[in-house]
Amino acid sequence: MNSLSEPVVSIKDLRMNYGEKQVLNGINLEIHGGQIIGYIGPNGAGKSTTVKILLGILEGFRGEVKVFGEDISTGSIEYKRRIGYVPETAEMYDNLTAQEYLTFIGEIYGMDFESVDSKAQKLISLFGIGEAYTARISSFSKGMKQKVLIIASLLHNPDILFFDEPLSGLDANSVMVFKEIITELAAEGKTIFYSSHIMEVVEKISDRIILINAGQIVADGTFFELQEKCSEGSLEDIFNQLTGFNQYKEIAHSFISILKEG
Amino acid sequence: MKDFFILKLLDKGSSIFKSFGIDYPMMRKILQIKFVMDERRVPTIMMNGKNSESKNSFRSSLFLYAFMGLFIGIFMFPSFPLFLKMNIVIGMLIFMVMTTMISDFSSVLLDMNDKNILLPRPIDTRTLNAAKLIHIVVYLFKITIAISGGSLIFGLIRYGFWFFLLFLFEIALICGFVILFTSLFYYAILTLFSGEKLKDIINYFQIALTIFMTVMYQFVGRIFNVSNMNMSLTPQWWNFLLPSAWFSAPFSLLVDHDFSRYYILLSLVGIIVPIITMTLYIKVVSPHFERNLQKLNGSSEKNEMKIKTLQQSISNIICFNRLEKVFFRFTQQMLSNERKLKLKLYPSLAFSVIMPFIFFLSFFGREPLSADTLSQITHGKYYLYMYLSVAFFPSLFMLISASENYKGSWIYKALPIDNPAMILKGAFKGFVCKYVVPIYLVTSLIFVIIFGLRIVPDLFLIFINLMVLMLTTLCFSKKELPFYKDFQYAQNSNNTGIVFLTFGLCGICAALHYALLSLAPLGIPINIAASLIIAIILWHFSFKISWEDIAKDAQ
Repeated sequence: MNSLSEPVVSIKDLRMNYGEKQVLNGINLEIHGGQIIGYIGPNGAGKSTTVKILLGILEGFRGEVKVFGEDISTGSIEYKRRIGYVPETAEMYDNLTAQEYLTFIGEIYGMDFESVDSKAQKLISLFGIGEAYTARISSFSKGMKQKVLIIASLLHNPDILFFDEPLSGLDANSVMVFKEIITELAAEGKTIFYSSHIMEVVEKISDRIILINAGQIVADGTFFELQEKCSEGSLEDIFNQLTGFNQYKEIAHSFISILKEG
Repeated sequence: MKDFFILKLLDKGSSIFKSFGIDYPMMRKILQIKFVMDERRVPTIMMNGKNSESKNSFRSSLFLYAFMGLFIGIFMFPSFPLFLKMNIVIGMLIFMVMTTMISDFSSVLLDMNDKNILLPRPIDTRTLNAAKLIHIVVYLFKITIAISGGSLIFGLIRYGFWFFLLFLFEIALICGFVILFTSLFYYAILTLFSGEKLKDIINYFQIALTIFMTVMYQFVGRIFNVSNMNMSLTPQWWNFLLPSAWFSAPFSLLVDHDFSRYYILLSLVGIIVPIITMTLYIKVVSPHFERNLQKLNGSSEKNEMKIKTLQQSISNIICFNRLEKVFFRFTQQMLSNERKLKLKLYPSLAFSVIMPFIFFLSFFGREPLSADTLSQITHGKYYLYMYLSVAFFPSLFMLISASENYKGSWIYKALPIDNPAMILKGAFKGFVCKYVVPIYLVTSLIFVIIFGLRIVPDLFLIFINLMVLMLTTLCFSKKELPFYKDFQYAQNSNNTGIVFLTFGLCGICAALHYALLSLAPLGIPINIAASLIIAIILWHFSFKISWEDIAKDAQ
């Protein structure tokens, strides 16, 4: 429905290098509202780099990156009011309590303390850890931390969400809740940038899958389009084929035999 | 959440921040969070609770600074010329503030942790930078006040209220100048270099700056000719390069009413330079600092581990246990990669090389070297200054309990290690081989060049005494595993008592050594034998530790 309007994210010929190492090799991408984008690729392909550039964490890239039609290289921070981010590694100020952290983040977005506080408390209770609201994050398990991160990314009702491996550590029940949440958010017209290594999940929830390898987009389309193009059954198989990987059995076999050596 | 006094104080000046284009409420929130976290620095692994400890240790280090400050303050009373007095006091002040800034607060300045949390949020870089800066300023100011407290009070008594007020103003100026100056330098380095090299350069820069500060301080005393009893001042062009002179000159204007061109110019420099630093900081550094900081993140460098190294063969000679050998190597490899740790270690190591020579300089550097003084030096017992170098080592070993990668320390618990003493022994030997021995050799070499081969037995004795000191320190300090805790906990940890203890013991060793020199030719061999026996006994006692001791000390 939004495909005719202006894209919420547009990336043109994005290149980035760390020292001599070329990480992104000319990414071109247009994303419209209301989609769940599965962003996949092997380790070191440049997934997180792309996301970090979009978030304004990484600078020094070449090419044009626009979010909500605004060029992010101008250093404007306005677009950041409308994005949310769950980082891959659970980086938080974990000496704080969940309450302190979440209200702090909410207040940064300009919400007043009382409303963030009650919102955060309700949300965290829905995730089943309401009793931990006033406890230090450092005492949390990985899944609990992840829940706090997810809430922190959604508190201000953003229009674009960047999820980097958001399910890590979550129990099966919470995973179902989370998947339902993002499906409904997408139905409301929000854009979700979903980056993960768990192919089954990406296959099921994504409206569009983008596969990058060695800093370039090698596949872009719905799951069915990818299936047709590659004549493979699952996203896992497609992933293996497109990244040119087919000897997993041999590798596993050698692995075991080396373990058995003296 | 707790509302801090200092934040309320800042509120009074909120309009100033706003006029610089800083989002004050946002900055206040970030600062509040930072202060809350600082109060909660919790030891990370193997322990729960006990939140108050780190706060107390910051307090107790403040008390120590204040105590030192009292001694500095005593300079207020004798009837030196005021300009010399202030140069000494302010010189010490700058020196101490600068070194704490480099060793303790560089990590705050170059912190990468904030990035993923704060940068995706709508906070402009200027506000973020301001918050960072104020965070440092608050701590540094507390330390500065503690150090200068004595001089402030004694100055108030001796010279009255206006002096006090001017001094207070100067202290604020000095603090700001030091912080901005360091940031400017970091910025320059961040712009010029990138990648892994950048991190090394920062390290070297910090060491260089610390050395520079030490040397600069040596010049402070030389503004004056103390050769004949009345100290006279001969203005010289290089006085204008000494920050302590800039900040001391206004006192001569205020108290001595000496309006000579020399003092007026110096005072002007003292105002102009901080202003220039500040404008440069606001206009150039602050908007781009974060961006360049990002360079610290990305790196891809391959280090191949060589199997047959010198390290390996040394470990085969001096480690008798397989586990000990493993941790000997582990410690050395960690030490060569831990930048934060190097940042704390290297300046002290550099000090330990420089210190004896500084003392030479201050005794003999005043007059041009004549053949007379030269032979006086080479035939004297001045090589005992080596103990000044030695005094720095023992407390350094305690530093290696902290690490950037402290989270990896779960391996100690998970691995089948029944005797933690092996870990500590390996780490101790690793540390000694990596830093103590090479640096001791370098200093010794220079000493041998100056004093001749006759001092070799003495150097040998001093080395054994060094081992005695290191082992004693180990006995008295907490039993801590290497690389197991976070720096933020180690940052202000209360090692100061032990440092003083080792300095005292070092003095005793030196005195004994000196006394036994008169018993030539038997004195030195006796001392060597005695020290060696003590070292061997200490070696057996220092490492009698169990997992229970470690768990207990970690709390």
